[in-house]
Formats: sequence, structure tokens, C-alpha cells
Amino acid sequence: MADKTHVKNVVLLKNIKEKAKSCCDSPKFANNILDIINFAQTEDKSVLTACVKAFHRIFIQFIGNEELYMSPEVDDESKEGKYKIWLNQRYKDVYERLTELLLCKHATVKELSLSTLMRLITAEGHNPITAITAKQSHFPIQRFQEIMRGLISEDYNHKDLISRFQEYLDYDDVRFHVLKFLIKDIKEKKQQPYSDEYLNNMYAMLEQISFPLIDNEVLSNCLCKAPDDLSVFKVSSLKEQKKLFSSAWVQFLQFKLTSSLYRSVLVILHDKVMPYMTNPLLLSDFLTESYNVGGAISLLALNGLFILVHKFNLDYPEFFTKLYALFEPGVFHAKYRARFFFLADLFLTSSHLPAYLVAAFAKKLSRLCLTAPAPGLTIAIPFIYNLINRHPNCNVLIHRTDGSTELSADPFLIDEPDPSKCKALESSLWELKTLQTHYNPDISKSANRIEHPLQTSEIDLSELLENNYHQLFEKETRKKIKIAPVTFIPPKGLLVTNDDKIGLCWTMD
Amino acid sequence: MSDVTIDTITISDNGTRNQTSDDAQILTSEELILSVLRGEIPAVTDDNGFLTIEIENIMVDNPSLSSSIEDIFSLPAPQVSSYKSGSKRKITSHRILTSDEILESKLVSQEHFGGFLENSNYVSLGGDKKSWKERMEELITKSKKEKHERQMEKEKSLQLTQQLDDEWKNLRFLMAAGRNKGDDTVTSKKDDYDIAVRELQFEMKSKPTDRLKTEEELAKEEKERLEKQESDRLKRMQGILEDDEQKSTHISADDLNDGFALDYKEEMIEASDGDDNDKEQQGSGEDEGEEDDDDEIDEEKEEENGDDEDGEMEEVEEEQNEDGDESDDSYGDLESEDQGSDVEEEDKQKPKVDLKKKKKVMEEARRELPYTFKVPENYEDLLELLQTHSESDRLIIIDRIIKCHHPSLAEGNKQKLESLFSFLVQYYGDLTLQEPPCLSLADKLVPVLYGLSQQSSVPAAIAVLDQIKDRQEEYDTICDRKAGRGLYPGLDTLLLLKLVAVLFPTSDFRHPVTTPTMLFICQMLAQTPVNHERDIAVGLFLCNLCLEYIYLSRRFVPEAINFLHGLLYLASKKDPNKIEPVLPPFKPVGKSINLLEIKKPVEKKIQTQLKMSEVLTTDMDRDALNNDGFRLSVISSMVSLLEQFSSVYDNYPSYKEIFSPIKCQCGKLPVSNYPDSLRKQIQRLVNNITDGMETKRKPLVMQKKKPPPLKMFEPKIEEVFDDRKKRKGGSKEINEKQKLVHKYKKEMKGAIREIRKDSYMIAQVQFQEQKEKDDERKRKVKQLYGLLANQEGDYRAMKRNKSNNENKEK
Repeated sequence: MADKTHVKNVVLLKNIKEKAKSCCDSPKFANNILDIINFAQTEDKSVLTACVKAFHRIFIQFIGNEELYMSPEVDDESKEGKYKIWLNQRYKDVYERLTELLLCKHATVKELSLSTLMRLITAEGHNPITAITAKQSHFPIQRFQEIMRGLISEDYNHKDLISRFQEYLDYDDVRFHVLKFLIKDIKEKKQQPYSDEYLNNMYAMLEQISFPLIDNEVLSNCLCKAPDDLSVFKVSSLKEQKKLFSSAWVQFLQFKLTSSLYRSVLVILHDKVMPYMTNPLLLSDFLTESYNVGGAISLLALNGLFILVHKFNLDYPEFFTKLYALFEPGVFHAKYRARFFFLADLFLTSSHLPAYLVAAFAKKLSRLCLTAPAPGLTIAIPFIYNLINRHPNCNVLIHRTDGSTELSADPFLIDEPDPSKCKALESSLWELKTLQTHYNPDISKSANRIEHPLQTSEIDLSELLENNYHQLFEKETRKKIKIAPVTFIPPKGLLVTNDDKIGLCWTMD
Repeated sequence: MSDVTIDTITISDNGTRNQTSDDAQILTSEELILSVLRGEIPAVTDDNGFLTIEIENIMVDNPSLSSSIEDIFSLPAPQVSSYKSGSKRKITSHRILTSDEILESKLVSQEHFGGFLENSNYVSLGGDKKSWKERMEELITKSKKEKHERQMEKEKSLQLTQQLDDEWKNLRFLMAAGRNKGDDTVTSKKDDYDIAVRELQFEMKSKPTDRLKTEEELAKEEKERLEKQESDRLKRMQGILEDDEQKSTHISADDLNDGFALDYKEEMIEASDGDDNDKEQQGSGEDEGEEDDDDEIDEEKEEENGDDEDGEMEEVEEEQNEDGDESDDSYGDLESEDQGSDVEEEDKQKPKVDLKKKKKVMEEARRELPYTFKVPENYEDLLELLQTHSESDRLIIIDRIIKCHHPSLAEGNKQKLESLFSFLVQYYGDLTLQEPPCLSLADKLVPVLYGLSQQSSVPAAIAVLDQIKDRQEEYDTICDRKAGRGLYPGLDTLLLLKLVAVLFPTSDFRHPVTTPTMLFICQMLAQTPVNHERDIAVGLFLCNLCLEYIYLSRRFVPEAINFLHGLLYLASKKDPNKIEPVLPPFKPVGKSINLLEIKKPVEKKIQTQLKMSEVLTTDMDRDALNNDGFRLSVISSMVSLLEQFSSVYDNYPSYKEIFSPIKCQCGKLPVSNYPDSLRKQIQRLVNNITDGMETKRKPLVMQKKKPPPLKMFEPKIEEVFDDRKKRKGGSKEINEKQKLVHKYKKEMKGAIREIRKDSYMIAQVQFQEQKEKDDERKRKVKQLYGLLANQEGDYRAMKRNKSNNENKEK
């Protein structure tokens, strides 16, 4: 059976190829198009591929030699006119079929269809099939929107396909029309229920959009033939495009995002979105809201918020109090730990911060160290040292010569949310003293530094941020073993040794 | 004649024969003996049966003679035995000087260096005013003459000796003829005695040996050794690195350098058993009894003598001797081969016939096992080798492999044993994965592994570390797949982690094996979510391991405390409206948060110890653990672990911060449902923590810096002065930087100097130019002045002339 279908397929494929060829060779065989359209109604992967290729070949040629061109003076009644109308009709059919194929289940067919569609668009852009005035763009907007509809599907996740589409987004006119379409689509979709897939696709598309780095206000990198006068052409205005981009994002962020999508949006926001927005302050509502959510979302919102505060003069009351609240035992376990510490370090870089504030951060972080996993400690301890280094007033935390000689308890109030009231400056970093006995030799050494005046130079945190257990483990095992001391009291069994503790709770049975 | 001791030998130090005292006699060896026999020289047999000859003033004038005396009396010349203190003893010289030597020395002292070594001569020479040449000639003639005289004497004495010897021969012949019969009887009679004497004489002189150590001494030694090791361990714990010394601490003085570290415990047992066999002291540290060691040494010896390869031969031989003594072996199952001679001897010593039967049965059962094995080439070979045998047989096989490949027996054995070690570690892990886990064999493998790791620590460390690395990588890949969340590994990994603690010291500040292992344990504790009962059990096991790892060094393990806190949370009563602050890997919400909560009062007895094979294996029945008994056991273990941790950490400055969440969580436990004993245990823990929190703390202060020492004005002396300041060893980078700074300074100085020179030069040139200009100007000015003066003079002269003329005209 399998053989038979295979043989049948081979014959069919050959047939399709031949038909396409003959069709290209002479318009006499134009009816072959109908046959191929019929063939394309299948689900078979190889047949579909062959059909798409055939469509590509035929119509690129027809568009190229202007067989499809419908000049206004074409006579509907004439034989030639009828043929042209018929051919346009077929072209439409094929186009529909190709956009349908964007939703097909075979990834390769999808990709092939997409690239074929884009090629057809390109061909049309250079040899329009309808009459176009000189002032107009040659971009076939209608057809392009059909592609977009296929891409931003409601039902399928088109992440891969959209990332394939990225190469076209470098063209300014494509980008322009994509943005236009997205804005329109979002506005429509807001009125009705939308699926998560739709949001994902939308996000994938928005994520792909970026702008060229040139300072040129006028964009000229077009896929299709642009009108001669670029100055009145909206597509070529960078400002216009950015405006569209901003509005598309702002509109998009008004959707109710899933939590994973929410996180990914926050992750890219500061460096892929904000730089291209006409007014990033438009995002401040979104970011403030996210910052108030708490947990990982807050951590991620920090970055964007910081840019707004830092570069766009956003007045954000109690920024540091909120940052202080983010220092909780969970940060060491959070996925975005590296980013958090990087930003926290950045925020606390200023030497104009009051000493009480910095002391509060240092003390709180050191308290958190008591429950932190080893890789977290490799960041936190240098972090604390950097804080003390920048603010010599905080040196009392590790070196107190005045005051009472003995305290019954730590004066620091861990549960106080306000850093100005937590009495951190009256305390000492006993936690670091405790960590001097940490089981990891590196951490122990690092904690030992409080015994002597700290170095004046700052410790570069960037290398430490991504530390994890595996790296620590590697570091310990990398060296060649030269000596390996062994125990000196011979065991009589696994649990019958000198310092056995496992026997406390376990038996070997 | 049994023994001759010459009590006194007096030798005159006068050079010439004439000066010898009258009673001194010249004796040849034969004469001496004769004279003794004749009774000319008084000989006394003392009460010990020794014949003492008292000789006075023997003049020994022939070097060959003097040595012959020594030979005869078997007496080293200078060592005159002072066996008896006699009044006649007059030892004036410890060295028998021959006449030649005496002469020579005299001449030398008189004539060398103009004879001023001898004062009198010097003075006399001072008076005589002979020329140097004359004196030298005189000297030469004198010495020649003396030499000639000496020669003559020598010849004469030789002649005399010859003559004497001839005479003696005749005499002896006569004597022998006379005494022939009696002599025979004497020799035959003396036979026994002589044999005994000879035996005594030729027997290896027993050298003084160390006396056997008493038990107390041994105990003391052992204690000292342990103390030494302990102090080393403490040093390593603080991270003080010793380089070469470190190594030497692990090699005992008795080490034969054969790769076997001495096992002291074993030695102690042997010695205390009072076995007088010295060789046994050298028994290498095997985990076997005394007899076994005996056997092993014999076997080793034999193997050293013979070819190492002829295992088969040995086997045959052994099987012939198999009726040997196995009875006295308490370690019957670990028994190795016996040797024939050994067997006979020991049979004589300890005939235990009654046990022979039993022994024979045992022997027969073991007969199938060969006695030598090759080290398996790879792990599969080892498995194949061990597969078909029973548990005890497997141990014997492994044991025999190790014995047959003792590093001292052949080259390459050490490598073989090292590879065997890594196979055994793998085997150890695989045993625990069997269904059901074969823990008892794994347990018994531990001493074997220990023994091997003692022999070659570094390869053992590498082998174990490789295993740990593999497990860690496996865990990491699971983590990567599951977004940073891992899965607890199987029993093999857990027991491997425990094995590390057995083989390697856990308290070192940094150890190539234990430090990464500890990191791995903590990684698992921090990254593995707790979803069911097994997770709890494994986590608890890992916490327990943490405790063991840090018990001696008192190191802080936040991950373990976190985990125990989380377990307490699982056991506590939860307020559904409040989210508790628990840390990952525990979640504040979810279906697993009540895994350990006991909802109904339970009064049954708690089983405090959990069974590894029941709760730690991966494919165990989870539902079987879903009962209050298991929960109570876990809670009880957890509380006792916390107690231990609390006592280990009680001197931490942050004790309060570490344990207050624990205390808080303990307050939320549904203690009313717990049995009394557990309730008390928890109360005790809470009390301990409360007590520990009381301690006061001092504010942190940095360590005081040492005041800089006063500057000394003593010159600093360097052994090799290389005209350069010695740079103290810093890192390469710093050194490089300093070099550059130095170079920069040097260049800078040079440049400044050059500039100065240049500017000086320029200034000089400018000055010269200026001077030339000035001189020119001065000259010109002078010239001008001169010109003007001339003009003025001319003018005046003209004027004068004019007025004169006018006057004249007037």
C-alpha cells in the first residue's frame, strides 16, 4: 500500500511540475492552474509543497511579464480582457489557498507558503497588477493584510513562523503596514474575547519589530516600489512609525496578559521597546502597576521604572522604600536574581543616598544571607561590601568603636518596612561573622574580609551575577588533585565509623 | 681452649730493642701458646671457665705478629677487655706500635721542620753552626744508616722465626705422637660440647632488640598518633596549607614505602596478643586477624621468591595442604591460603583436632573458589566474576584480588588496584540499586574501599570525584529540563555521598572531594521540590549528611536549616487564610503542604530510626509511607537533627536569627496529637533554642592592626647581594605593574636629566652669543668714544689754534 501511494505521489509530483512548466511556457495551458489548485486541496505534505512551488513559479512569471496587469482601458468583452479577468480570478483563488496554508499543520509548508506570499507581494510591489498613480505606494495593502491575519492567528501558535517573518520587518514599508494592521486588529479584538494564542502571536510580532540604528529621519529601505516623493510618504517617516509603534504597544499592554507573557514583556520592555517609543512615559502606568504586584513581576518592572525615573524624570515617590520591600528571602531563589541584583546595585550606586538608607539595605541583605543558598551568597556578600565602600558612614556596621560593649539582641528591626526606622545604623553585620564559618571555602573567605579594612576599589559584580551551584561545583572540581587527605580511623562498616551521624536516624536494613 | 682473654698488654714505646726491659720477651705466636702450655706465662682459669693469661711487657716487634696475636686470641688489639681488675694491669698505650713506626715517628719529630718540634734539638742546633747543606747531608746519611740497620734486624728476626717455626714443627710432631690416643678420646668426648660451643659461637649474635611494648605504651603511642592526625585535621579545617609536611604526615616511620600504609590498630592487636614473632610487626594493614597476616606474609615471601605468575602451581600445592589449620582462624570466611611448613608447625603448637571436622566442611564448601584472581580489566569483567557467587564469596574474591596484587609484588599492581577501586565504587553504587538493595554487602565493601583508598589516596579521590561529578551532571540536566527544579537521586547516590564522608575527612577547610560533594548535597536541598513522602525522606537523609559533614568543623549550612524549617512547616497546623513565609524548595500553597501533619492523636511508640531500604529507594511504595507512623518517625528524626544543629551552632553570633523561625514553627506543631516522648523532645528543643538566644553579642570590631615595628639601624645583611631591591612575591600582575612603574620612573629621570643637559647647553651657547655680542658692542662703543675723543681733541686743537691765531693776529 505504502509503495503504491508513494508511486502515485511521485507521478503526481511530476505531473504538477510539468503542468507548471507548460503553463509558464505558453498561455495555452493556463487551464493547468485549475488542475493545480485542485491538487492543492490535499493535506499531503509533498504534494502541497510541489503545488506551492508551482504557484510560485507561475505567478511570479505572470506578474513579471504583466500578464496579470489590469489597465483601466482593458476591454471586458474582448477575448484578451476575459482572459485577464479569468487569470486575476485564479490569482485570487491561489492567494486565498496560500493564506489558508499558513494555518496548515506542516511547518515546512507554512514557511514555504509564507515566503511565496511575500515573494508575490514583492513582485506585485514592482509590477502592480492594477493601475496605480505615481503618488501612491505600490504596496498591495489588501493582500498583505490577509497574510497578517493568517500570521496573527487565533488558534495556532505562530511563534516560529513569525520569527521567520522577521527578515521582512527590516523593510520600512512592511514594518509600517504591520504596525498599522496590528493597531487596527487590537482595537477590533478588544471588543471581543481573544485567545492566549492570539496574544502570544501578537507579542511575537511586536517583539520582532525594531528600528534601524541610523539617525536618518527619512526611511527608504522599502520592499516595494516607493513613490518618488518620499517627504509626503508616511511610510518613510521614522517619527510616524515610532508613533505607530508606541500606540501599538500601549494598546497591546492593555490586554490582560498571562503571567508568563507578562514576564516576558517586562523582560524585553526596557531594551527593545522603550528606546523606540515617542514617549516612554506612556508606559509608566503599566510599570507602576506591575511594580505593585510584588514578587518576580515587581523585580522585572524595576528595570523599566528605573529608566523612566532616571531618564524621563518620572517622579516616583518612595522608590527606595519599595525597593527595600523587594529584599526578601525569596530573591535568592527567583529566576531573575541576576537582573535584580544588577539593578539594585545600579540604584544604590549614588553616593548621595543617606547613610541610614544604605545601612538598611546592607543589614537587610546580610540578614537574608542567613537563609540564602550558596550561589546567592557569592553575590550578596560583595554587594554588601560595595555598599559599605561607597558610603564610609556605614563602616560602623563592621567596625564599631563607640557605644555599649554588649547587646542582648540585634537592634535592627527586620519587619519594619520603612528603611529610615529600622535602626540599621545601630546594628552590626553579625550575619557576616556567622558566614565566616560557611561550608563553602570561598564564601567563608569572602566573609572573612570584614576583619580588616575593606579594599577601596569596588568589586565587579557582573561576573558573579549568574553564579549557580553548578559553577561553584565546577570551580571546586576543576583543579587537578595533588593531595587528597584521607580519614585515619578505619571504618568497620558504612555506619560504623568514628564520626557517624547517619546512624542517628537511619538503619541500613 | 675455649676463650682467651688477654688481660694486660704492656707495650713499651721505646724505639729500640736495647731499651726494652729485661723481662720483656719477644714471642712469636707459637711461642706464646707454648709458653702458656708450659706454664711460663701464668694462666688462670676463672670461675666462668675462661682462661686468662696474664702477660706483661710483651714487646711486639713485627706487625704481622701483632696481628697474629689478635687472630689467635680473637681479640681486637685496642680493645683490651677489662674483665678483671688486676693490680698488675698497666696499659700505657692503646695501640700496638711496631718498632718501625716508632723509629719513623722519632725521626720525623727530630728532623722535620728543622727538628723544632722537639725543643732540645732546636736548641742544640742553635749552638751548632753547620751549614744547611751539611746538615742535610748528615741527615740523609743518618737515615740511610738507620734504614740499613732496620733491614738487617728484620732479616735477622725473620731468620729466627723461620728457625723457630722449623723447630716447632719437629716438636709438635713429637708432641702429637705422644698424645695421639688421648687426643682422640678428647675430641670424641668434646664433640657435644664443641658442637654446643660452635653453635653458640657462630650463632648470629643476638642484637639487642626493642623490648616488646607494654599495652599502656601502645595505647599511648596510638593516642599520640591520633592526636597528631587530629591536629593535622584541625589545621586543614582552618585552611592552613602544608605542602610537603602535609604529605609526610601520612607516611608512618615504619612504612616500607611499598604503598601500604601501616594499619596501627591491627598492629596493636597483634602485639597485645603477645605473639613473639617479630615479623608480624610488619604485617600490612589488612582488615583481618592475626593469623591471616601471618599467612599473608608467608605467602608474600613465597611469591617474592618464586615467579609471580605461577598461581596455578601454588594452588595445587595449597590444595594438597588443605588439611591445614583453619580452626584457629576466627575469620574463617576471609581466610587466605596456607603454606605447608606453616601448617605443620602450627599444628604442633595448637593441635585442635576437635574442630578439624568443621573446618573440613568449610574447606570443602570453599573448594570451588580459586585462590588467585586477575584484576578485572573493566567493570563488566568484575560483574561477571562476582555474579555467580554468594555474598561472602564475593568479598573473599575481592579480598584475594587485592592480596594477589599487593603493590610490592609487581610493577603495575598499584595501577591495577587503583582501577579496581573505581570499579568497586561503581559496584558499591550498583549494589544499592538492586531489587531489593543489597546493603549488607555494600556495607562490608566499605572497609575494603577504605583499605584501597589508604594505599593510593589521590587516584581514589579522583575515582570518587568522577562518580560525584557524573551524578551532579545528571542532576543538573534534570534541573535544566524542569526550569531549575531537580529530582532527588536514587539510593546509590545517597550512599555514595555517605561513602565520601567515610573515606575522606569532612572537616577540611577545602578538600578536593568533600567540598564539591557538600555543594552537591546543598544544591539538591535547595533546588528539589518536595512533593511526596520519599522526597521528605531523602531530604532528611541529606540534612543528616550535612550534619555529619559539618559536625567537627561546625560550619554553617543554611540550606539544611532551611529544609528542616520547611519540614516543620509541613508538619505544622496551617492557617488557611494566611500565607506562611516559607522558602523554596517549599511552597506556601499546594497539595503537598500537609504531608507531615498529624490530624488525630497518636499514642503508639515511635520508631526513631528510619530504614534506608524502605524509604530511600526510588521505586518504593509511596502509599506504604502514607501513615502516621512514618510521619512521627520523620518528625522525631527532624527534631533530633535540629537539636544537634542547635548544639553545633550555639556559639554563632546569629544563633538567634537562625533558630528563631524554627522555634516559631515548633510552636505551631500540633503537639497535642503527638506521643509523650516526642512532645518532650520538642519541648527540649524549644528550651535549648530559648537558652541559646540569651547570649549577648558584642558589636563587630575589625581586627587590630599590629603597630608598625620600630626601625632598626642594624645593617641588613644579604647573603647574595644582587644590587637590586628584592621584590616581595606578589601576584604576577602586581609584579608586572611594579616593574612598569619602576621603568617609568627611570625613564622619567633620564629624560629630565637629558632635558636639563640640553637646557644647560643651550643656555651656555646663548650666553656665549650674548657675550660675543656684548663684547662687540663694547668694542664699538669704545671705538666710537675714541673717535669722538679724537674729534673733540681735534676740535679743541683747532679752536686753540684759532684762538692762538687770533691772539697772534691781535
